[in-house]
Amino acid sequence: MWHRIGRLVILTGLGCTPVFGSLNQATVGFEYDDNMFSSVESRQAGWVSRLFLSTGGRIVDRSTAAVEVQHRCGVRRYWQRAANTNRAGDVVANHLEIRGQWWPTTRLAWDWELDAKLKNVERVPGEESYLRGGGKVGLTRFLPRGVTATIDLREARDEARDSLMVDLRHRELGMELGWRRSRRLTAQAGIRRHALAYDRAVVLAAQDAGGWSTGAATQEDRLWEYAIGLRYYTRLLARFRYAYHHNSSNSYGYAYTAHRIQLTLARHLWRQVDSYLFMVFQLRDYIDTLTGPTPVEYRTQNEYEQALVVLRLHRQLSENYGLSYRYRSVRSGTVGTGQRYRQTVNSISFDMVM
Amino acid sequence: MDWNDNMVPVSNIALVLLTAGLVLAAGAENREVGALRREYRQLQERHTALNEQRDAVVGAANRLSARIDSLKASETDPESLHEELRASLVLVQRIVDIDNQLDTLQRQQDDVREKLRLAYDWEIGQLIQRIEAQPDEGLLAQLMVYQQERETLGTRPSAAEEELRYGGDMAINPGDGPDEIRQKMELMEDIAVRLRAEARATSKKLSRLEEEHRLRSRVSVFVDEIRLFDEHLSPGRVLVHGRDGSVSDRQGGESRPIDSPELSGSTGVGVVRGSRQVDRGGEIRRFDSGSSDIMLEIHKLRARQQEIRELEAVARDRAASFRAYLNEMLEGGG
Repeated sequence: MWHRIGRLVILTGLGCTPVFGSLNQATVGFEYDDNMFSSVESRQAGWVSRLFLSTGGRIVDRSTAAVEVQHRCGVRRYWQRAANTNRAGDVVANHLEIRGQWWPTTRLAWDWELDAKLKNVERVPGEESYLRGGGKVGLTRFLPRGVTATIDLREARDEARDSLMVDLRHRELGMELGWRRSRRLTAQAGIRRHALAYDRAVVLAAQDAGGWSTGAATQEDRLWEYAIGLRYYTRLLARFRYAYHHNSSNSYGYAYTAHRIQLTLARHLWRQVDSYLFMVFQLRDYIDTLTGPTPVEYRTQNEYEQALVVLRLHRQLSENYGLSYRYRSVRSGTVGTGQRYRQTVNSISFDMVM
Repeated sequence: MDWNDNMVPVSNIALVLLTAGLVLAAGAENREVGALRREYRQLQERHTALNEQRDAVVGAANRLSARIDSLKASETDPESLHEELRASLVLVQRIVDIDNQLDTLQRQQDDVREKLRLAYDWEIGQLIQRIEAQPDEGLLAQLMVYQQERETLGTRPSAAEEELRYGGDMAINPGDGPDEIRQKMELMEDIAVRLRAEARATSKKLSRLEEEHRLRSRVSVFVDEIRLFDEHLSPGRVLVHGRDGSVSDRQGGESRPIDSPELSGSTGVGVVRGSRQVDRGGEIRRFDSGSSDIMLEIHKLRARQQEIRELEAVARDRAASFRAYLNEMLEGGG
């Protein structure tokens, strides 16, 4: 796999000259995490070093076509070791994206995207290693009055690098209607169908004895996603997205519905200080209530909740250097059983932007 | 699942797509300029044809008018007179229609000309960047051709330029008295003040655009960092058919053995565990062309700001010349 990724990097890297529009950033910092391993019961606080690099550029930048390469990598190094490990762990992630768009006419655009991501986790409970590769192709038709219609197809594979994960084949087909009033106000509404094939045996409900057993077939899910989005800018940049998910599965216990809200805000405050906010709220409700004389804690485990807030304040010190404070708060887990964890992370980082 | 084996065609398809994208992109370089030039030429041809049509209709109308005049004078054939008058009305209506079409065409031409100017500016900017990066005679020749073609389109003068052009015609005439010189001096000073105000407005607009560009690009990096470490992913449950009833609860981050007989299946022990979900169903990642639009606008505004500053300097210089001449005149007179 690596030599293939290498080929992509070489092929695109040869002509890669960052031009305007691209942003290269390096961030080095420390964070204090009050629940480093996302634990429900035994919280362990400690320090984590953090490095993040984002580089990219356009290798083709014409009035009718563009190709963009983005590479991101990051390392999180834990200062304290987790229980049952003799050394502190780390997380290393790499993500390469190549995407392009071509406008054969003024009313039509083809876009495509290739991406590969490797996340490698060593001795960090609560994190999982995997390798992912995917590709997407899409077609956009520009209609009168700023309306666009898009159809796209994406195929991706996940290779699990963790015993608790499974391999996954993911195919999605999406259709979206967009409306652009101006550069500053756009809205989208779309529907997507995801076909997910997991490399794990289906779970069968055992009606007589309660509980469940496994079958011979592998799990296949069909996820429908209905989403609306809004992007707006005056002095405040706002991106809002709401999605409703309906997942059906041939495996018992995996069908669910979910509501997901995502909000991103950015605003210049004063004197070279910018603020950024990222919020996610999701509520997932599993349709199959576990059968049998299930203990109370599992009866109420049908609902999973996630609330994430990330706030970042960035002060530009000079043209290329800046200082950031980042606050992250997470509440995640099952609703009603107390099987959820809270995590608050405060971090300071030094940023270099080119 | 033999993932590596399955990945071979996917990877090959990806390489083919990438290569195709690069080839197509390279071929698509100057199509916009070409298409706009063709459209502009077609509009010019239609304009010429409509003008010819209008001339013909006006000629016919003039001939008809002469005939109507003679019929009115003779008063012999009222029926023919009425008929010719009706025909005349039809011709007038046709002229009005053609004039409307000409107006519409003119607007379209102006629009396309402006787009063509922008397209040439874009291509010229790109060529300059490429030549700066790597000098090339072919590119230089192409740049000269583009610049010549761009010059034939002319520029749309701004209000300030018009104003200065009006003021620019002013010179010190031998017959000018102190009052005339003072008026000219004050006019040039007014122009300079207005240009400074325009420069301030441009500067404000520029800083707003730069702020927008900075926020747009940095918010993407901010979100990318969150996505890279999977911090945005939500939890969910996974049903595990454990063998020993002890499976690590990744959600809680610790081992949580569940071996109650109520959860047991027919062949082993059932376990519910939380798990961070795989990234899917997220926001559609769209190729961001808005960033280039903003940067292009920023470049244009910077050029415009420079131009205004130069015009302001000219106006101030001229006002100073008038003032010096006036002082000289007054001192000489005194």
